[in-house]
Amino acid sequence: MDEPRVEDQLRSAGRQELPADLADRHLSAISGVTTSMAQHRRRRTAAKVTGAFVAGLVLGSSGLAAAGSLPGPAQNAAASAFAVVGVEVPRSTEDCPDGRQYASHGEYVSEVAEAGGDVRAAAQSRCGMPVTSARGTGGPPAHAGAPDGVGRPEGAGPPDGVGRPHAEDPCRGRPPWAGRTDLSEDERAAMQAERGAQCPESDEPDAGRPEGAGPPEGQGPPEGVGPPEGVGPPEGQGPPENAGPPEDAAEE
Amino acid sequence: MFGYLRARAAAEPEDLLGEVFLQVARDWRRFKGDDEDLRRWVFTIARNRAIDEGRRRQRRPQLGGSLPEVAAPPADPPFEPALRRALEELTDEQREVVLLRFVGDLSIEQVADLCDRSPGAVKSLQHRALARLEASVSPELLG
Repeated sequence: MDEPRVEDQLRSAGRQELPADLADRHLSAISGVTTSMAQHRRRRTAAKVTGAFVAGLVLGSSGLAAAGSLPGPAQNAAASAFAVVGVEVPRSTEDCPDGRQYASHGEYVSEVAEAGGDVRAAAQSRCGMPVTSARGTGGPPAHAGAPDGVGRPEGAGPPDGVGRPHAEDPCRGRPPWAGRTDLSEDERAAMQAERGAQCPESDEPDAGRPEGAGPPEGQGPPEGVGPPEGVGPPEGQGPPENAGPPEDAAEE
Repeated sequence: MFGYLRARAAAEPEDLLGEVFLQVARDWRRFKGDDEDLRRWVFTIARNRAIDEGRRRQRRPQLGGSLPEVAAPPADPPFEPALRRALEELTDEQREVVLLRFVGDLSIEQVADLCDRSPGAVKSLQHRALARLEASVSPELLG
């Protein structure tokens, strides 16, 4: 079979690089948004990876990240995020021996293990580290490695790792100090500070959901990944694609 | 990502991509997960944006045939004409699955999550879609 298979043709379409000028244009636009966000939220957060990533977008957009000049985890986060949208960014070399570049943290650790080096130290380093929790403290995300959809009833809400159900999100709902009379002022202030550091301003509660999205099915909208608009058909139109499978019957 | 948006025949894939960029930047601090989760998250945003855009386009009032079309026409998908035509003949679900699977390079499980379907259903859709594409495209290539 000399002709490229259909799959290959489709894949090659997906491998198109984003034109540099287009990437720069969008990243410049992002910088405006993230600058205003940064001014709005003057708070120190444990999410250094996130902050640095956003800062990278603000300060130098692709140029900064592409130059490999962001802090290690941020560089990796930026690399991963940009890679998804088609912008190639080199991986961080922070903590890597001789400034070498690795495709992933695992690759680095494996190399150290094969060489008989200190695997533990290598595992704790940042070299080649993949994206971790935005609120992470260095450990893997709670659901990292969990198979997709394990334990989730059908239609129960967002997939693991793509946002979290409302009830599990410490940034939403009642704050932990609410209604507690046993807390001292200091303890309450500490809890408020911790929550403040973890949680963004609640100025974009529906940020992930497309325009006009009403309350999602199930447990609430995943953060950043909402159903398409029209949950609750807009303007008399049919149900949204994920609100029921009108076309599924024909297919399945 | 850009290829996926173009492949979905979005009218303005550059603008859609910009919206995806912005949303990723805006919600980044809320994201929790690894590389695979990130990929699925970003594609979910892109897909939702593309769906929104398609609906906006459909909602625009249709003007008389003699008047020039106001709305931007869909951009050319990044495929050979034969494949493009073959894709248009697929059902919406089949097209979505093959675009996410091969253009978006997502796994069966990721597509299943994204489309709110079971992996088995995605495999079935993919199988039928590829069969139809092969059947449609091959004669044209040979001919």
